[in-house]
Amino acid sequence: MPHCSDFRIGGIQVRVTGGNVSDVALAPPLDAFRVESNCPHVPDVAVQVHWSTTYTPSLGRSLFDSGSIWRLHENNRGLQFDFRSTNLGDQPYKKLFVDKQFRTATLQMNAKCFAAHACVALPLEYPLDELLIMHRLTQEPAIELHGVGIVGPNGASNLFIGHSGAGKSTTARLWTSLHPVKILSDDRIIVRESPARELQPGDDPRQIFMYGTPWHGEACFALPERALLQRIFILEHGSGNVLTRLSRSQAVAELFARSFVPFHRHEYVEHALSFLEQVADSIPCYRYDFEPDERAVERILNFRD
Amino acid sequence: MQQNSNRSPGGKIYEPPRLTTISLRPEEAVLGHCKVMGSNGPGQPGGCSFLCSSAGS
Repeated sequence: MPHCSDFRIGGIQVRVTGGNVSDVALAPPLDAFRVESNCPHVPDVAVQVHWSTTYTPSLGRSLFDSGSIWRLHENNRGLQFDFRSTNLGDQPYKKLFVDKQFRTATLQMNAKCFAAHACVALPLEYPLDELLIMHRLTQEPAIELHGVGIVGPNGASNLFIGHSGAGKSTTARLWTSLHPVKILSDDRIIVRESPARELQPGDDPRQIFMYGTPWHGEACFALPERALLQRIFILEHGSGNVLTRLSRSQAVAELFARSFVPFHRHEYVEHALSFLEQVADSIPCYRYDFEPDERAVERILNFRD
Repeated sequence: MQQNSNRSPGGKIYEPPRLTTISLRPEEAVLGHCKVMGSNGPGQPGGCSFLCSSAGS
């Protein structure tokens, strides 16, 4: 009897199936994104986990090398992600085979790697989960951004984006210390149109939402919720809490620089830029040169476009 | 009377294209490393589970 778990991130529902309970285990904070497996919806992505004791070399054209944990190959059947760790030997400790629409995947776990090191294997362990969602988003009106999403206290929902060190977790801590707000994530936010399954009668399908993700930052905020996106702020350390409206092209460039997009196919980059143009046309974008104290929060709360 | 050469027939002032440099951070964008500083995937000394944690930016 196979076991299965479903989770949904950024409107993408993933179903993981395996022969053991541990194959489909969702570790925190991914577990918070679990949804009912017996729901009538067909998942967007189906992943089958199995174990192998034989090593098969990676075939096909090498597409991308992350420089560390994962490498990507392409062949006529689809894409193959190899995951390696120096702590688990020379061979890949797992391989993900997936079709080019990112709908069906097989995750092959290398039993020898884990047996030799007496490790607890978590098939969906980061970065596999994020890579899977990031690639699947190339098939949707959606993109993942490096940012903190804050809802409230007055119902306003703002997205503050920034590179590492720009002040995302600091911003999350500041807001929660001062006001009753929801932080969807303090590091990774998915911005997208509503998927069909989440549309309510009368909803405008072109509205842009932001979704929380499990890939949180130092402040550890990760909520499986979404909010209608109202404004975007590019965080920069500065003085005076100065807001500067960005032009369409400036907004697209700044957002792209803080996005998570597979760079190994030009179609994915073009899709990302096209969707970011839609975002820039719909949502006001500002550069925010801020000082990390309560005045930075009040500046946003009192701000009008 | 001298015409303003920067003004288009529609009356909008011409602005020449400007080149703006935007910094990319490929080391952050490709998810090549664990998010915990110094972590390099599963199988770390001292324990194995949950080591490629998603915490940190």
